[in-house]
Amino acid sequence: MEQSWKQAKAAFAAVATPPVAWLIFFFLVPLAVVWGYSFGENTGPVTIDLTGTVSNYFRALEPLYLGIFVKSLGSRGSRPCCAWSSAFGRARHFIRVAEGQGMAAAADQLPFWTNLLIRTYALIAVLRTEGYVNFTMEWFWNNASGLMTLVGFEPLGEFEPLQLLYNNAAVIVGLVYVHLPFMVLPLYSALDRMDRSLMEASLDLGAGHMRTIFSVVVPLAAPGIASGILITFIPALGAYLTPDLLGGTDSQMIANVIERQFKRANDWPFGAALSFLLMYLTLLAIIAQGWVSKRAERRG
Amino acid sequence: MSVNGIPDNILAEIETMLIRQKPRVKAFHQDNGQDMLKSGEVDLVLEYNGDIAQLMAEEGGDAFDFVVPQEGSLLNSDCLCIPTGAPNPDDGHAFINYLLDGEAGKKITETILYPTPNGAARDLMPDAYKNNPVIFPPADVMAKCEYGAFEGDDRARLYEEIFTRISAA
Repeated sequence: MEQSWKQAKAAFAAVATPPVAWLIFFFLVPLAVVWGYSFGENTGPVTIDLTGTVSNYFRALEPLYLGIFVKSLGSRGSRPCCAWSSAFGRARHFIRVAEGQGMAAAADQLPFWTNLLIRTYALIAVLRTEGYVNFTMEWFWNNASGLMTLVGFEPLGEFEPLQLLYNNAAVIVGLVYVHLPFMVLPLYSALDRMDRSLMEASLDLGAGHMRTIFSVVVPLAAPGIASGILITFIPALGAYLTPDLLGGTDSQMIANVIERQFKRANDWPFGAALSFLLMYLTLLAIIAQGWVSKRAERRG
Repeated sequence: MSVNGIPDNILAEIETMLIRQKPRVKAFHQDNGQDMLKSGEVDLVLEYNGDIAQLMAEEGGDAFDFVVPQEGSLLNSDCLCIPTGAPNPDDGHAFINYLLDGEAGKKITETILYPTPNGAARDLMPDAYKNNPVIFPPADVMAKCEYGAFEGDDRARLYEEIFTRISAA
């Protein structure tokens, strides 16, 4: 029987107080401070006066910064799609292999045991000119070349290493790699809950496998997909380490600009205004997600 | 031409030049230029002399060298500061005193291979360090180099915005 929290106030207070206090003191209060800064002005190297000016927001809305916002959103938009399609396969695979065992889910979380920075450096070692991908390709190249000489053809010539690092593709690979586990979990729970007989019915009634996936599975898993996109999209928007380490000269994202305002540029008010613009966008995304899941509920 | 007080028309010129140069540049790297050089990712890198001196001291370091442009370059020094109103200024002084001790300075210098401003530490270092032109460039080269001054918030903001524009271009 479900019980309203009002009937067990003491128990509710005991359970809820620590997280709520934590949320207030370590999340809402700092956030409010940053929000205050966004209406401030630098008066010295370490002093900010809260003058209530909105000039920081006006500056953040200049075409230069708006353009970077749009670019960040666009390239992040392509990324959840990649993550989604691969995560979808992975989540489905989990369900078949690991029926209720949780082992596969644990494997999905394994990367979190290693720090993001270290994982990114590992990716550098894999992708760079003298990295593992190029070593492997070179090995195959040279063997193929040797084989061709053996059967009397001209050798293939020098191996040209692929330039896999320091471009936008590398940034996308890095972000997908880092955020894929976040996508798998909501998909896993969405697919796990799904009534398997619906798929069987669809196949029975003559739909092919692709048709079954796109007409039955995807609409049913829509809330899971939407929340998966949301929890990968938001951290990806704020990611500055990955573009910094894997990106080239044109991989600047809005998060990099914000980071520089807080560090090298020492312009916290402007950085705060840029961060809060990003926050407002995130809020819009959350509202959109809520709308999608509500619509799916109504249909279900 | 000084690195300080650059006139606006020259700044605009620098911006266009750097944007035109972008296709030939692999990355505007963080403080990891020496790693990119070592891994063969780039052939040329803009880095601090100490970082390159460390790389050159490693195995296979003969392959690398450090050059100051003919026009000179920008000097940077790390500073130890105690903010006004710091709660424990005596501890701060004690720590700085320890770092400035000859033996402690020698150990630091042996690892970081930057030019030490500490005469006592420098005297304890071997000649290979004292006469290394990478760590201590010749006087005529140093004469062309200068420190960048903080030219105020507006100027700093302008420089930052120029770099944002270059990166966004």
